[in-house]
Amino acid sequence: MKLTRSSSLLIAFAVIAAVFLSLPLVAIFIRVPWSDLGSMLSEKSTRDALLISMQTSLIAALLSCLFGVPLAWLLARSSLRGISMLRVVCITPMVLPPVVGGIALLTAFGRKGIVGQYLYDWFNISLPFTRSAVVMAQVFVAIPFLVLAVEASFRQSGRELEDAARTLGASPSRVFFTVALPAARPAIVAGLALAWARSLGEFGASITFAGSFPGRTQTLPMAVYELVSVDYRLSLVLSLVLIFISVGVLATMRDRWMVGR
Amino acid sequence: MRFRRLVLMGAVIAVSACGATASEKSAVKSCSDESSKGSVVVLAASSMANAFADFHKQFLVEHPCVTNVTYSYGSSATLAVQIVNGSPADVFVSASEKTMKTVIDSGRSVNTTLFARNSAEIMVNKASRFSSNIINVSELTKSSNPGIKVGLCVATAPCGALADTILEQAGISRRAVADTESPSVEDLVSKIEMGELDAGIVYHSDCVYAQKQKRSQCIPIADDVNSNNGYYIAALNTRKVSQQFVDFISSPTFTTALQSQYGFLAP
Repeated sequence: MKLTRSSSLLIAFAVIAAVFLSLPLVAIFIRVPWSDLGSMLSEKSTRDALLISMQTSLIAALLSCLFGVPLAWLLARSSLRGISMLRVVCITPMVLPPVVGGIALLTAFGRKGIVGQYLYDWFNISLPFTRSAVVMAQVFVAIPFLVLAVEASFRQSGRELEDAARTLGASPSRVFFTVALPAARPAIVAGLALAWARSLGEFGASITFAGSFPGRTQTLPMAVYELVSVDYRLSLVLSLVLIFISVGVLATMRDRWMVGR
Repeated sequence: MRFRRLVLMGAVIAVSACGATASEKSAVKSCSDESSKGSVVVLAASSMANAFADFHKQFLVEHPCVTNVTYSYGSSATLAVQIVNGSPADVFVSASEKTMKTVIDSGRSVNTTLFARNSAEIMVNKASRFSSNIINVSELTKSSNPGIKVGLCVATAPCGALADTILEQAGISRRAVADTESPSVEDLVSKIEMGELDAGIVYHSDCVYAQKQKRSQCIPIADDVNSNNGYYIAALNTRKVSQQFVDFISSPTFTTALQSQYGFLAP
């Protein structure tokens, strides 16, 4: 490439963007108290938050997959009229500020919520401030990522193969499990990874709907948030853990995101 | 453009004319020192929100050099961190001596005044099915009232530290009581009022104020386990208007009102 004035300007802007994106992460690496890392990671509060984060985010990712794949299939295959409207509704949580999602969940499933009041009055189930509420908040924000990824794949693979299988006498469920699902496998794996990463990082909806209590509902991001004002060094360590996990997720999806290597 | 400027000038004249007649009527002093004129930014413990809001107008009327006061409420601990990290505030009001000390130690302020104290109380949602069972802090535990949802302030916030002192004196662990931790007492009060929590340990002053909404009730905590917090105020710079706000808050007019109307204790 010949360096003209305009292209060098482009490169300058690109470098600024790259530095801007990488510098904050580098800053954490520089400031993390490496010598105390071991002792800080083995602290009970750290382990509790890590454990809760891992448990809830994995369950949320699996639930997103269990319910999201059929939803993606419905969105891709149905020719019903309201389906595009349904798609918009299902994907909204992706662009919604998470704290709004939390308030929405509280309004629906809280003790005084439109559904929650009956759960509480009839079955004595109170969802807010429980670990189930953490998972619900995570699924709420994570499921659109999976649905989008998988639906695109269903659309791409087209319905010809499925039609062929059907004309050969396969039942609808057999078509789904033996034809549609295997074809969408790479997208499901990528969607699962994205949903997991999103669940792990979820903060706004869960702290609003599930509250925060160490050892019960406090996830890693909540712990980081609370520690910033108390123990900055420990919050750096927890941030580092989250960075490592996020990079790990990217690595599992390297076919999609690390093109050209 | 010119038209707009004209309108603006007209407005300024009208406002100053009004100001003049108003001040003549009530004989309010105008700002004697124009150079000190300005607004005040106050970072305050959220338990002070109601009293500050009610006295906002009176302060402005009595202090013509102060153009406006803006408040930001939160947990004193969080606010202290913001101040130590350079938040451009003029006055800090803390609900604990400890957090005020971190600000003094950082050099952001030199002088602080104790102007009120606040004890704790159990706030219970009236519609809660546990409302009639709660007599003292021991009824807040899961073992005495299975299914009860209780909130506390985070241990680092002054209202959380106060709750911890009380629970410790009652021989109960935080874990046996709390389902969630609120970052500030305001947040805790609203969760109880919403009915998402059955009860929580809040300041007496907050409970007195919330009780007026008729959605919640206050259960006193027995004296032998109850405790209280001191409220401290400090100017974060040498501006005259900052000091005026500090003086107003520590004046007998305000502190007696805090005690008679808002449920605070004498310093």
